[in-house]
Amino acid sequence: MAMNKMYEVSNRYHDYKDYTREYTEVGRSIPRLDGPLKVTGKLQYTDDLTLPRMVYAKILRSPHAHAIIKNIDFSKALELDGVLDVLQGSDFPIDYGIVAHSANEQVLARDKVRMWGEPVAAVCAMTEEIAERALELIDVEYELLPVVVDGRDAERMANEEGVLIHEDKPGNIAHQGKQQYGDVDAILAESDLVIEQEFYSSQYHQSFIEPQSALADYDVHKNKLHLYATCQVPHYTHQQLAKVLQMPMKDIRITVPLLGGGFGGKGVASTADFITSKFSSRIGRPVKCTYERSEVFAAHQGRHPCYMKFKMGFDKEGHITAVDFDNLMVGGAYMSWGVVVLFYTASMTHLPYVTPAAKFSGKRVYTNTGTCGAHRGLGGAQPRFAMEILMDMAAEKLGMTPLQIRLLNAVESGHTCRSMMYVPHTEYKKTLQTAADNCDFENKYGKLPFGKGIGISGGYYISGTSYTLYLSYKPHTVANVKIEGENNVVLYCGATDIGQGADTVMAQMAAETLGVRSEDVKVVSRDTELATFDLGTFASRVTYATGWAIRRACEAANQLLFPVAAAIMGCRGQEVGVKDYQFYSIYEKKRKNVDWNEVVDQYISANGPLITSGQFTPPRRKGIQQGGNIGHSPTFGFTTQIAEVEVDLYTGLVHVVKITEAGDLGQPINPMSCEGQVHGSIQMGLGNALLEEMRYADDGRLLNPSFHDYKLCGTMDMPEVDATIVESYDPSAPYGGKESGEGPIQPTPPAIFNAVYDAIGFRCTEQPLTQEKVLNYLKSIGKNL
Amino acid sequence: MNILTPFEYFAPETLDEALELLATKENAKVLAGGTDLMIQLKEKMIHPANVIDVTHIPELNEFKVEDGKGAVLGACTTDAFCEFSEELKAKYPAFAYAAGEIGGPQVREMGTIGGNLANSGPSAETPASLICYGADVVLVKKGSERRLPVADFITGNRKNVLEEGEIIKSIILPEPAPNTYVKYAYVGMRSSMEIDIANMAISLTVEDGTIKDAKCVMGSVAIRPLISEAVPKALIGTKVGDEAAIKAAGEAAQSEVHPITDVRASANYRVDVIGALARRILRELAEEING
Amino acid sequence: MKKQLITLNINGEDMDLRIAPTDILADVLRKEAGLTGTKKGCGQGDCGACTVIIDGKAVLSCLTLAIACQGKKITTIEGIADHKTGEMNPIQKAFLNHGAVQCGFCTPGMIMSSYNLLTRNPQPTRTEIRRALSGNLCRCTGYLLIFEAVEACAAEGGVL
Repeated sequence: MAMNKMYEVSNRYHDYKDYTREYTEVGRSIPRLDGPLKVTGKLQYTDDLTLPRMVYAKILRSPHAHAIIKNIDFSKALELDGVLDVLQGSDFPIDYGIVAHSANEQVLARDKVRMWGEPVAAVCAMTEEIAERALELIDVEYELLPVVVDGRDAERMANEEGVLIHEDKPGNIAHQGKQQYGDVDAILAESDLVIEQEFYSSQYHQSFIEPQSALADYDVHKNKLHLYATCQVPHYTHQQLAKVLQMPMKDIRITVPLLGGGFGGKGVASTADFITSKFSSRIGRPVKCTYERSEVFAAHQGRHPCYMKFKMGFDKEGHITAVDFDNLMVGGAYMSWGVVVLFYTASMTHLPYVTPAAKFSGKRVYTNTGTCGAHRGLGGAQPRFAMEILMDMAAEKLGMTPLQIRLLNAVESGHTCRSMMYVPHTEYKKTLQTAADNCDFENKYGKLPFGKGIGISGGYYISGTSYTLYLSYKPHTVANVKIEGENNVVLYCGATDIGQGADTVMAQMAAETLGVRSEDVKVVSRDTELATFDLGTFASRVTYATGWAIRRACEAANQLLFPVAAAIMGCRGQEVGVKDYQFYSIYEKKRKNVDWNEVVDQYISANGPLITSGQFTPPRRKGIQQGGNIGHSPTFGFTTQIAEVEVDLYTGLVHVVKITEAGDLGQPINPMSCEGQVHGSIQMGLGNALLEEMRYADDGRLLNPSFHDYKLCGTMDMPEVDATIVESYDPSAPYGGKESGEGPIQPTPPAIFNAVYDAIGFRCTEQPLTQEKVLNYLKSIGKNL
Repeated sequence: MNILTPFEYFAPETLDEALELLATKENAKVLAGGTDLMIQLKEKMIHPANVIDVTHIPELNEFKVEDGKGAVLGACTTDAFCEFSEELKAKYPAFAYAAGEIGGPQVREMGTIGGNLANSGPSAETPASLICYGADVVLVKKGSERRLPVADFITGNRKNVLEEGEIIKSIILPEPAPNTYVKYAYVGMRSSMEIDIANMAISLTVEDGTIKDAKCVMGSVAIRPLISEAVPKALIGTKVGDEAAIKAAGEAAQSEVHPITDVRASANYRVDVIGALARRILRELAEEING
Repeated sequence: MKKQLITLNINGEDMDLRIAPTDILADVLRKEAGLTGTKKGCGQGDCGACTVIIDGKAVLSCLTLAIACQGKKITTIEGIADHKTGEMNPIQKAFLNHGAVQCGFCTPGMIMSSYNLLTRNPQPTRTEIRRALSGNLCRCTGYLLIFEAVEACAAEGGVL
């Protein structure tokens, strides 16, 4: 690859790999480094841990969705042999929440419950069985209140019937906001085509297979707490525990043993975290609490359902002129990530198409249903669902194909949105073209027999957030590298592997820069005391953010090692390269090289262990207003999916036969892992489109808090997937890599909805696309069998 | 959900021993595969003082298929055994297929044919085809044994004719009548691990392309398996594959059902798909019969 | 509730365990036998994470009474690696090498179902694999790389 490039970089030795891109560790499809212990069942998750003298806690949850707690009587529970302690709302006077400014979640309900399954009391006992029996002996007296189940009733019931879920929130409005970029009304009035349509994106749950669990071990002699928890944001939980328990942060340590999936649902502190900590501090024994599956659903924190009204303008060539978006977002009982999600839905309308003008008006309302939070592809999936259907509707009116209209409007690298979001790099068009070519989309769309259809959708997502909710203005992530003879390379980074494989990818990135084998890098993560600071796993930030921090830490180490290697080889420090445990001159590799260990030994003999640090904070941009900072990311990943479906004309059941995907995720660090992210996103997106929905009774009870009635797509339902990683390299990214785990969930539902339209002409705009809706449509046109 | 109400556990080795226990132990429940019972115990829907595990009893594990003599399935024959049995697949394909659509593979390895009947859930998978094949069930208790049609066994939602101390011993399938074809189909939301929204089995006896006899049994659309009177009327005497008759049969099925709306489907949808199931089965049978 | 001493044969080893008649096998394996490889994802037989093999059948340990397992052979995820060397079973290696493992929580159950399939049907079709694993839920992988792992294991000589 180009001697001229070598010449260019001759004075910038540590960047030369960016030019040659001759990676040896990055780009390897290596199995998970923790994989052998996972497949043999040896690795322990939180609920697998036991500590000496450990006892168990259980949570009593409200059977009512909205009620005043008149009285709680623990007397019979306390008489039960083996019961050690009880807790109630008044034991936790301070509220918590992931967004500190709007935190209003109660550890245990004080005075009033606002959703079915809200924690009301907790018991600690010698065994789980005793704790569970004790729950049955707690007498809670409730006074029932009118219930707000449908988000569209929230404001009316507050204003007309005085039903307030939070006394300090008039209209049951948790938050509202407006954004305007350009004179949208005027532009729409002048547009050749305006499509106006309402959409509903429904409420679903992450449904990670590992239920939440917490094990607290409080040292009553030193007043220090060690919490093992299923948490994808340990540093945020650290802050919240300190606040609620009124302890200094330095006296709290959080370890995340291993996570059995999160997808955003474990991006908040759990009730189990607080009650086990409190019990342990009161009785001086380790206390564990693990949720039942029904509790996982009750705690919810899944996707915010949105009632969306869109107006989208086009000129006669098919260019988007303006987007007007009104969003009623249903939040459930408490705030959680609410403000953030609301503004994400606004900012996510500005991409992946050039959008010259945009207007947003949004409200997040409270209801007596499960609190919604951060769900994979947060804030993006809802407007994406609407807009990708709108693109198809516009294409039809304009006589274009769905592919043509997307290619016409797709953004290019270097695009700045009206909201000032900046896209340093994109291969979105390439993903559209690749996916279409790979399944012959243009020759199939509109041409398949009745009942068979094909539909396309684009998608994208952020690769981190430029702005943080963490109450400190410090770097977003830090990585430390320690190199020593006895331990080889140890990488310390507090990022959280939630199952996506962060630990493996971090080792690969460190190994790339240091020139060692990924398998030899020991990663210390998921521990607030041993590892370094990192904001946590959300917003697809980990690979990008830790990538830079790791690379900088490793480059700092190389800066110390290269001169030693150069002296041994007899060349200049700036011409040293390193890979495969060998330092070498980039000009005369065969003649001038030296073993990595020899150089490290020499350095350490003279200086002691080599410890370096790197950090990363995304760049911020000037001129951002109206809450438009939410959504800003250092870069974005892009994807296209094409769904092929067959509709059962007897039952209305939609079979997704195949998904063809093409993704721009930059340089994949671990292609096998990226492929897994895409497959997993499709499994989830397919469920969201067709099967999954949190269903509530009129009184606010959750009707399907189990895996038999909350239906995930199983092995028989999973379509064939043809996934392609398009050639891409983001020069702004460490090792050229971008997100791959949240973008791919965005196009799945709209692609399926568009395919069903192609199959039978049913333009459904409300999730989920149930077989009943399809059959009713088929009956209406007399086409059911 | 972790604790079960305390009970004593018995695992009798002989039928007599089991019947003695059932006759003498208060508030006893029978445990076979446990796939329904364990959930009922965990959900605290039942609080037995005694649990009698009947899986070790030889008579309940009997399996006999003889040429010209039908089949005998001990009550503890597992769903998976029926799913994979080449003999059953050849002789009673609709029943083997239905058994293979219960829950998931692990549930089928554990669950038993007797249990699926005794649990008497409205959405049970096997009763429809068993009734179409004219199967009988043999019930036994201390000192007496009786045999009755499966059709008369289930009386309501989780209700059946089992008396105190009585258990299912076996299911007896008669030799299929000549020129008789049975098919089973269901509607769910997923392709596995489903609780049926509706299911149906239809049996046709055909002579020279004309339907001489017909049976139709519907599940998940009433409190118990619904044996249709109208569908046979619409079919008998018509030609196999006659579209007018097929449509009439679909409407006939719809006229008889009184389903509920629940979290899985609305009553309207159940009515719609019960007609669709009838049409689908009849068209598929016509293809099979007419070739 | 009064506990009693029973013997269970787990992974070829007789273990004396103190249990109550109401104790669920999944809990006994995890808490009494210390075999936490078997996971509990739902406790209601819906997710398959607790799958173990009893007398050659893949079953749900969350719906099984421990006391009913006396005299039977129970195999858990800890029991399929080579007993003498600890070397992974080929199906475990296949899961690892084909990206069939992400968070790993469904993995033990998924592997037990796959292992059981391959012991009975050494050359399964893709449809047979899908069916055999249809009682196991996974939320990370989308299943496809799991199917590939099972196919690769079958092609490379199976599990035994």
